[in-house]
Amino acid sequence: MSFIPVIGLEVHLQLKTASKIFCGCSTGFGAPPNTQACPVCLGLPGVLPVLNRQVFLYGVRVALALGCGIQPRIVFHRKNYFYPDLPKGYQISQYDLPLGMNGAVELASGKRVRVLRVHMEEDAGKLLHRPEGGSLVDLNRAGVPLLEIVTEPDLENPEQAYEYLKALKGILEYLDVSDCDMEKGSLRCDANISLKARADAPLGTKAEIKNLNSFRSVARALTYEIGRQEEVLREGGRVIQETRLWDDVKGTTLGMRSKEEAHDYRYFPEPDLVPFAVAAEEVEKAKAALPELPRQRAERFAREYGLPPADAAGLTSSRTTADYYEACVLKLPPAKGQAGPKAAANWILGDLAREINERNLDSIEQLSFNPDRLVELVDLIDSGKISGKMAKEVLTESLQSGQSPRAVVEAKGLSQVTDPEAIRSAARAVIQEQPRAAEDFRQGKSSALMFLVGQLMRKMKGSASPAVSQQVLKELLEKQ
Amino acid sequence: MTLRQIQELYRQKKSSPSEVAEGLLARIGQWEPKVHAFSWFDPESVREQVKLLEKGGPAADRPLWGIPVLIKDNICVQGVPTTCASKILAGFRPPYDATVVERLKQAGAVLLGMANMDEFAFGSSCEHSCYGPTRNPWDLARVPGGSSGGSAAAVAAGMAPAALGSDTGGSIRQPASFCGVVGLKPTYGRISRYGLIAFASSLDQIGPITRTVEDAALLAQVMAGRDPRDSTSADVAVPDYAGALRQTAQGLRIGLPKEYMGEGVEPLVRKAVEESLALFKRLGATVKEVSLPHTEYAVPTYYIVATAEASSNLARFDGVRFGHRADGKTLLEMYTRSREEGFGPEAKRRITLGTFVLSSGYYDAYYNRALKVRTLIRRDFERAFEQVDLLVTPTAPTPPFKLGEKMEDPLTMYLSDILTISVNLAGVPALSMPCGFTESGLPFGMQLIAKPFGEETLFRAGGAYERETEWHKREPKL
Repeated sequence: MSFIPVIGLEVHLQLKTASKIFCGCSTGFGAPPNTQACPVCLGLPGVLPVLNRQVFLYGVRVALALGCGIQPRIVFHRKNYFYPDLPKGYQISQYDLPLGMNGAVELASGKRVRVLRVHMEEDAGKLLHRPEGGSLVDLNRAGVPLLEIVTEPDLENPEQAYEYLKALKGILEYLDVSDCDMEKGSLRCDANISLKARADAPLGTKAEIKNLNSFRSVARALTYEIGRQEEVLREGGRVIQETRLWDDVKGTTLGMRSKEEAHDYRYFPEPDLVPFAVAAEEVEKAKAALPELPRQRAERFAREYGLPPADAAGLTSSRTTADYYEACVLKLPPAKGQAGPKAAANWILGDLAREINERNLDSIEQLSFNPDRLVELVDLIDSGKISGKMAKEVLTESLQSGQSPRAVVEAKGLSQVTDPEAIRSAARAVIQEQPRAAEDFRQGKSSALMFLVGQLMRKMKGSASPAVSQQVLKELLEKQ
Repeated sequence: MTLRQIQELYRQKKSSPSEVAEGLLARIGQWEPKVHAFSWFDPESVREQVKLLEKGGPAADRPLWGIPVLIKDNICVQGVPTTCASKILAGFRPPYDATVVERLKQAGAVLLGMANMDEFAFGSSCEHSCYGPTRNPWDLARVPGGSSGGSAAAVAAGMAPAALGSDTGGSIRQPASFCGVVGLKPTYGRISRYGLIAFASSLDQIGPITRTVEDAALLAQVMAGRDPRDSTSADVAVPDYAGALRQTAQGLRIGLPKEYMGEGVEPLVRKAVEESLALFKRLGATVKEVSLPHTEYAVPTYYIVATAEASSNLARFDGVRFGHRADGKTLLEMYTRSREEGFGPEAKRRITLGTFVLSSGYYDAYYNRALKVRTLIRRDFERAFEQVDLLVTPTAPTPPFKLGEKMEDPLTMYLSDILTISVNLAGVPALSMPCGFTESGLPFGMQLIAKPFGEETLFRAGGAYERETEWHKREPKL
């Protein structure tokens, strides 16, 4: 018997406001401990929070982009619990009246993942556990604005979870409200997963997985957790409701303390912040000001640049990639029609994507190959200076040396030979060396010609223009 | 001396801030060993401030130039021990000034020291203090009221011409009544709470305790107004309170809420309030009986809302960053021992109560219901103020009681705030001023209540009454 996984994700997004959510301290990352911590961050007696309006505006932008309805009245709640990284003994968060509710993210596969809620809250500080014992508290992060984005348990497998996170990050990048950098912790994800026996069975007991530091680890941890829970259930056991920590090195999850004695957070409305109404016009204005989002941009790319939908979707899922692509298209010589845009798309989705992967980079921006260079490369092929095959070599060389594609071609003498005279002697030699293929061609087997072109290219170490090579070979064979 | 009298002496160059300060220091030397109104006091700090002020001289933008003010021990003063009379804040010196302290300093006031109080403002007698109780200057065997007992006692004893208190359920007005002085609980949002160590955030207000209504208006004028650091401070213009003081009571419509004159109120107090109303009538006011029908629910509602907020507000006292920290082998042990040792019994009682009413499963039955009743209480006042401009009631049901009299029975102690609590739940402003003395010379007060941001009406009525009476001129004898 196999089980059906039920997965929901909680994403915590740090907003890139200049100052914190309830005071004027900087949100900058990496400052020496406790240098960005005022009396409000420290939770000193007597201090009061004042909401940073930009946090609300960013929150509305995200909620709207995810298709959420906006709460007409904004109320904050206190979530009470003790921990040394939580200076006030409570976190100011939102509870039963979150900023946004009932949105959705549509995946490329057509799967619709419902977003239950989007709410604003403050981040906690960080603890530094010393190997010699004891812990240090750094409150620079305390009060950094967060949005929590929670899905319904709509995800059916780890791949979908991965796909959702990519799609969500894509949308968030377009909104320009966060660095979305998992390494710096500006985007964090916790996963809830349970198994059930049949589609119509009630939800099983879930485990919450934390310490997921990349989208890949989310998928890996879910795969592991599905296996673990399946084993427990197969052996007639019971899954315990608990928080489990993902160990990225070992590739396993480990149970923290059990949630059987669940926390009672004693939520109640934050009396230090006055609830405020959100005018419908304000929401409409924010909606109108939303930037073009990945789905809309993909539709436009397909329409304007004649791209197949899959290409358009691939290019637009990340804002930096789409911006890169669009920069290229605008620099392409206009006379080329749609061949240019399609060629640029192929390069980005093919060779450049592979280079990014191999180098473990996050985005195309980090590849030292700007749009000008890609346009140059496409142009070199287009004008017959180099073959497509040579272009791959030029790309590799350009990335390694940092030289522009044109400089690489010149430096390496890679320029393509297009003069028939220069090719003719090598072509004769190939025909002599391959009498059977020559004979086959004369007998009407046209595929033999392609074989001979290949041999000729090899002889000339790829420098001959394939088109001219084919023409010269054909002439020689027909004359003989 | 009143603030006005001191200002007049300065104006006529008959006295100087150092002379006034030295006079007070001498008075403190006499009275403080008996009354114990201060939680912190440093004569040298007073002399230094005075010296600086005299160097700068008086100025138009320094309306409180050279005026000594005592600060309640829960209002943060930069560099000065601010402890809420709690062991858990032992040694805490805030790195910042409360907004009211900042405004007082800018206005040229001299900070006289910190006033004793019930720990975290939890109490009505000033007996719940880690520094020991403050005594009533009119009778040292009696309590000064609370929680701002130190502030009221110091003003009554002439150790401070004015003091700041905080009022969550009567903590300014009840001690003012017990000590025969004037205490103002402003409209919620009228004065910034920034720097007031929170007891119950939705109820707390800072206010002045003075010898006269006129002086209360003077201090309120300086402290009132929007503060960007306190989201709950209102963006409502501050009127000219001195102008309001000069008006008469002619045409004032006064309401007497019948629920406030019931059996629990001592006949003597009731009679004094009735006589005060008769005086108001002679001054041209009209008086009618009104009803605040949800009054009987105020005490339970208050003790749910206030303790719920307090349980959360006091969570930050965990031994991690400031104040008292006990050793512990684990984090939990450090937390529990620090709080066990740091908080007094009343604080523990209220934290426990507040934690309980917010617990899942109980929230709706207690906290949520209390919020609904609070709305009803607020509406009671709204309806009353459709008919009248001002409500007049006793401030406390009795004159000051004896030390230790109510310590064993928290419920009886809670009931001594029965007439002041509704005002905080409704967020309206109220003023307590002396309106009589017992045969043995114990003072008690009456409470004037106005609609939100109606402090002007309180000053107008209070000023008119004060001009016609002598209660505020009496002084206790050592």
